[in-house]
Amino acid sequence: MGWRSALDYFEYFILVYFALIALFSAALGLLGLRSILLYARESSSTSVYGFLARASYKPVSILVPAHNEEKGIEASVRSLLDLAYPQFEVIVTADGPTDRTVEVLIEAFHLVEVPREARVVVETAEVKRILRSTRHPNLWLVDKENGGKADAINAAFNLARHPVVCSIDADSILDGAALARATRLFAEDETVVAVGGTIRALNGAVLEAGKVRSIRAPKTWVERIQVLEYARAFFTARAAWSRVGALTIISGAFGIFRRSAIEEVGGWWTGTVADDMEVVFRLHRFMRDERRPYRIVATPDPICWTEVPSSLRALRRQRNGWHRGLLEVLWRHRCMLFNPRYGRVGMVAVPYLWFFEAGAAFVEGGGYLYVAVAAIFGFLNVEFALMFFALAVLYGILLSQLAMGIETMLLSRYERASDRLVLFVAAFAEFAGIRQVLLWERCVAIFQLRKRQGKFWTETRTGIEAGRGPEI
Amino acid sequence: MWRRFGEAAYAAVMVVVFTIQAGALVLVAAVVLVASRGQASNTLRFVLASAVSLTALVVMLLTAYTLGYQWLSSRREHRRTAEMNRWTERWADVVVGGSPPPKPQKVRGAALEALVAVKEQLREPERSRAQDLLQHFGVTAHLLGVAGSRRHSTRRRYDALDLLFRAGSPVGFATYADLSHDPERLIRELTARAWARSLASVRDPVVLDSQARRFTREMSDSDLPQGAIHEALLETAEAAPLVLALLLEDATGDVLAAALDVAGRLQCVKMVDLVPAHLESDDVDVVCSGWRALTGMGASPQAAVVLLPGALESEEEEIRSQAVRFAALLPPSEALELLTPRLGDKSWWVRRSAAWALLNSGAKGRRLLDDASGHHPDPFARRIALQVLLESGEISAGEAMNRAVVS
Repeated sequence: MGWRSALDYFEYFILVYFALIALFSAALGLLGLRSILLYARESSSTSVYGFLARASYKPVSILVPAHNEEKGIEASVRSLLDLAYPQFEVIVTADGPTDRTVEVLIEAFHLVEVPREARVVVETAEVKRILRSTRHPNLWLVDKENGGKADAINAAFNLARHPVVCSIDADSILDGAALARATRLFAEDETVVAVGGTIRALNGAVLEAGKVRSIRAPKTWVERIQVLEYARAFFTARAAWSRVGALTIISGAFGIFRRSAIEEVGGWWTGTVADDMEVVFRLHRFMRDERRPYRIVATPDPICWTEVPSSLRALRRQRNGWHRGLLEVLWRHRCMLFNPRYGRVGMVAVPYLWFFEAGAAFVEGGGYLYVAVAAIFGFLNVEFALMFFALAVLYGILLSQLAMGIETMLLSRYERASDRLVLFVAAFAEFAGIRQVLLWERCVAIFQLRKRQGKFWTETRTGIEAGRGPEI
Repeated sequence: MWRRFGEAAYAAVMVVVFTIQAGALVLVAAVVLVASRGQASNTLRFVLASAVSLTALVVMLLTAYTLGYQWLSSRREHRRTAEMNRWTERWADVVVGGSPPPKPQKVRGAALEALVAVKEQLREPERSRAQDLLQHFGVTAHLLGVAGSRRHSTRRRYDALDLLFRAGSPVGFATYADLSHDPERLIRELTARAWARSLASVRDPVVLDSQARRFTREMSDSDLPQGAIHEALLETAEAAPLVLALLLEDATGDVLAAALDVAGRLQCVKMVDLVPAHLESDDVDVVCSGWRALTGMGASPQAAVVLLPGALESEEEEIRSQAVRFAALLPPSEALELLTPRLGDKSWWVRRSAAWALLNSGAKGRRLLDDASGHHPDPFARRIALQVLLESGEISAGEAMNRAVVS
């Protein structure tokens, strides 16, 4: 077989790979749609507020890891303290910040140093001091040496005293009823060990007193594309995996866990960037190894608004980290691959992640390389290549439109027709450079695996106040 | 929160779109495989071109549908809100203002929801007037008919049960009994809640007794999760003493644990003597719920007190923790003797409960905790005592820091 034939076969391989991944995505899309429609049918405001009124809720400890968050930490903590939930505590961890994060919190919330006996469930970097607000008795701050995001969550977890813990990013805002909706699942079903909420882009939202009043399309194309990505991820894929009992990730920006389950698996692992994904993998492994009934679910309704990177540079850095994290987690839990002991997680979800998430960077990158080589050596079938590219782009847009169609059924949706059109154009724009840049970043990440294992806190954010759009 | 309409149409559109797309993709893949054997390159070109055109078409279709849905749903919500406001005013005029009710007509849609919402907000005697209107217009019968019929869509049945729950009318027990065996889990949950609230509004003691027995029988046989049973039992309100007494006598497992918890939460002191029998159960959840119930009721029957030393030494952390909380109800002289050693328990939760219990055991308990924060031989006991004193506001942060440094 000559090199031309090999390239031909590679071309066919790419086409079939594309068809497979597209069919899989379509199946996930439909399954996710079904899951969300069932959820939408089941949920009503009566059930949630009645749930709170009857006091059958579970108290929650909200864990907020923070590094250099001086710009947005005050607004973020204030919005958490304003949550409409009867019993909760907020534990912020300042993970060796090099800016004024700790000072901002001390000044804003009148924090004073206190002695506190913390249960050391998970070992962490040295805790320098523990502070408590004199104005808000349910607000605590752990000031500690830098140890990474997972270490910061663990430090907060050691202080948590409620049966349900919720980890949330310092630059995020929770929807009013999000906690009630999510914790209701724990109260109703003892086998639920983790619940993943839906994350939506805060960029462009109009705020009123720390609450999202309405949402508008963000200003930059980088942000707009992420709106589509988040919709695709949360309204289709995660809902679908949750439906089949094989959800492998709960976003670190908003995840809720049964404290006892996290204690049993030993907290969050500090050796990876994707600590949020890793802890879910470990929960699956532990529960299945122990043969215990359990559920890890994603719900489309408890919504958390988070600030997404607004510059391509920050986005590249974030995606580099995510891809490294994915590979680290898959490698650490490689024994789950095609292992029937782990049920659908081992037989479907983990193989999907290996071949269509981790492997996609190679195949897609290889595809572009093939086009370049074929063009240089003059055997590129331009008509064929263009048609294939058009098909891939249109299919991607179709998936985005499916997710945005689901989004229109939410009460808090993009109301202006102009925003919808902008987001429709963004679905095209995604393929006009940004996707390729991010693909490159994912390829680069593979070669940085050893060098940058577990590094975190590298993102630069504009801060909630600055990045949120008009505040009323 | 989600809009509760249009989802079926969207699902249908999506199924059509993706069926077409999947067909096209399978065809593309098949032709590619044929082409890999050096055949049919023209066919491949044709199939690819068709797939591209088809995908472009469905993208446009979907986008148009989404924009159309957005426009239509906004208009519909606007109209619905206006209708609700109009009907709410009208019903309020009838029930509170004494205006004559609308002429006999079907009360459905916004009119029905508004009437239920008005009833929910009122107290007696206006509430009874709203109930009469529900009866007069056949609203409850209509809702029961929708909930009980499998011919209606599941969503309509959910909505009907939700409205029945909110209406809380003392009728429909036969339908509820049938629905408590429905194959849909959510129908069973909503039925339990609606049934419980209906029981709460029954005034005739004979009817209440027979219906409460039926309700508890069905709850005991149901496979609802403990949390759902707990929620339903809380809804029984005035009927709770009867319902809970029946469950405490006959139920087991999750249902019994839920009944005990609710008895404690509603402070049903009348059934305090029914609780101690469950404190020796083999089911740890039941035992914990039992101690919690007594603590909630604020009662310390002798039958429970004699079991307390054993519970405080239990191997189950949760039982010790609940028993410690209960111990705070005993006379200070007895309580302090039992609680003080628990400050040094191996479990953080038990230590914490013990410290809070001491704090709540009167002046002597508070003094003891104060003393423990500085001089207890066990450093864990010292720290938890200090923490609880701080959290309760008994000492300032500065004082707590000083004591921590000194001790």
